[in-house]
Amino acid sequence: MNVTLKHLLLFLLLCASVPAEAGRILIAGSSREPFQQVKQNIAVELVAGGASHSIEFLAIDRDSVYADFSRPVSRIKPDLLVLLDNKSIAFAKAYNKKAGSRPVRGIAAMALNLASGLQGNRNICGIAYEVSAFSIVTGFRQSTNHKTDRIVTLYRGSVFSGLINNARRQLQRIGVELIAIDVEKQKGAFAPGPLLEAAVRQHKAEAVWVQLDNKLINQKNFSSGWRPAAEQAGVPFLCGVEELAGPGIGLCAYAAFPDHKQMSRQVVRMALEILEDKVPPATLGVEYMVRTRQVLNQSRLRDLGILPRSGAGNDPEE
Amino acid sequence: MGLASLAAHRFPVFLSGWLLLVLSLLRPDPLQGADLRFGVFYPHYETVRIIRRAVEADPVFARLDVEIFSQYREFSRAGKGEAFQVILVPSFMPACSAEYRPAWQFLKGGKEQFRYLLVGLGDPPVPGKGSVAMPDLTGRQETRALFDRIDGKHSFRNSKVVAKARDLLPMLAMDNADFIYIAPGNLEYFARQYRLKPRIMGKTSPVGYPLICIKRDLRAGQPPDFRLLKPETLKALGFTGIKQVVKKR
Repeated sequence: MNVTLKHLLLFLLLCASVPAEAGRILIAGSSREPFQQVKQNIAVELVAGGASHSIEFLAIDRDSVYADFSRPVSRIKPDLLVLLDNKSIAFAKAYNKKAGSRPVRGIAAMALNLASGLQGNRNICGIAYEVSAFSIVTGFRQSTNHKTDRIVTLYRGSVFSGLINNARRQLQRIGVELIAIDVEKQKGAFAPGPLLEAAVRQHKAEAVWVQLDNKLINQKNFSSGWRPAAEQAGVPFLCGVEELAGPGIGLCAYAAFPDHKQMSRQVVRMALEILEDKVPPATLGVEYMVRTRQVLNQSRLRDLGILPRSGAGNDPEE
Repeated sequence: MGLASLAAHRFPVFLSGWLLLVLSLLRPDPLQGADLRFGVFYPHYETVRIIRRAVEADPVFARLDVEIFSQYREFSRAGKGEAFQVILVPSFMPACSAEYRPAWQFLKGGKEQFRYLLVGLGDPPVPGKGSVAMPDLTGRQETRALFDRIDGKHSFRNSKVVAKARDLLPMLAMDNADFIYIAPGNLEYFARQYRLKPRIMGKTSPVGYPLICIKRDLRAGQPPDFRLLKPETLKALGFTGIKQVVKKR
């Protein structure tokens, strides 16, 4: 092949026009909402931030198998994976196990109990989908006149002890005592009503923090267990899911829930730290969502005699 | 019929020409009446809504088309097309010395400068270890370089540049970062809001309070005298005074 000086200059020009840090990002996750919207948000935020990385999408749905993930990843050879849901994360972990010394780096989001799932994983960092105890309690304090210095929660120690330890540490920093009752250590069948009633009375708790755990709160025990408990406890129930504070279900008096747009920005910040600042995912670990949205259940608050502060709610210009 | 065209009908041509010239000199430039585009960005605890309310109630801003931003990225993007003619920005923003001329300096307690605080909740930082979060003041890389420059005493394993000042204390409280750099006014406000008791681990070298800067090639329109700002406006902006910047010789 006859390589002229012109060819050489053209090659050098092309090399110079591609930023050295440009990388390939593959965003994998369910094609359902709100996952699809989050995928779009991440792409928009990356472009808006001036990043020159290329972005590709991969749908991983209920019927997807490992090959639906591994084949495109092998073909695209992404510099970074963004994994939106538990299935994509499981596939990425399996892929990296097979890849041995050449794993793909990733950021996981929209999956529950992520810190536990990624424990010891050096290639994937992430953002916990659970709203932190700090966000829920500070949001509630700022939105109402209700004293919240002592709160009770029920949890399963075999799965959520890490999350509870984090919550206890966060709440201690803002002067809140967390009374966490491991339901697996209780005798007899699980009944939230009597357990909560006794704990609230014994510890003089001012609120109940409801964990997002379908083994503890589900269709079976909602109407017979949780709803009467909320009505009889005499203190507000706080949670991290919007629907539980909605007018229909009405279990919680207050909910702080994921703000997907802001979460996408947090994913992008982590992506740039990995791709451009060369920070290893293990260093970033699992972060909590920094910003959340909130909803106040006015009728529950009224029943409990709690007054919302003026201007409480979501401020789009915050 | 306008005064100029009436003059042109009644006077001899050479006189009307002179009159038109005099009138055009007396009449203000039509562009001078146009609102100047004023971009406001600096990390502050007050929300955009509250700052806007204060600004709208102050006659000094009456002839300014004010746009307020709580994030550097939005401010930067908004000024890329039609540039702002006047900006209120952190004093160390490079644009304030390149394309703009510093004209007014905000003051707090009579002082022109402050120090960012290095804050944590646990043990003091160990060189090269732990993470630090900082507010995005002038872009991701530039902000990092700024804090490296103004705090030569501390070094960290990695730094996280967050969009807003209000993100800093939650980053710390939720262990997303081990330390944060935060302005004293913002620390006081947010620590009270969250009832958090962080420890001050260090201070940066002094940096100036925000400046109001004017586009160097500003031709049409005159910015108002910002020394006439109402005390309530200054308070909403987080300051106690403002002074004209004297050109250094």
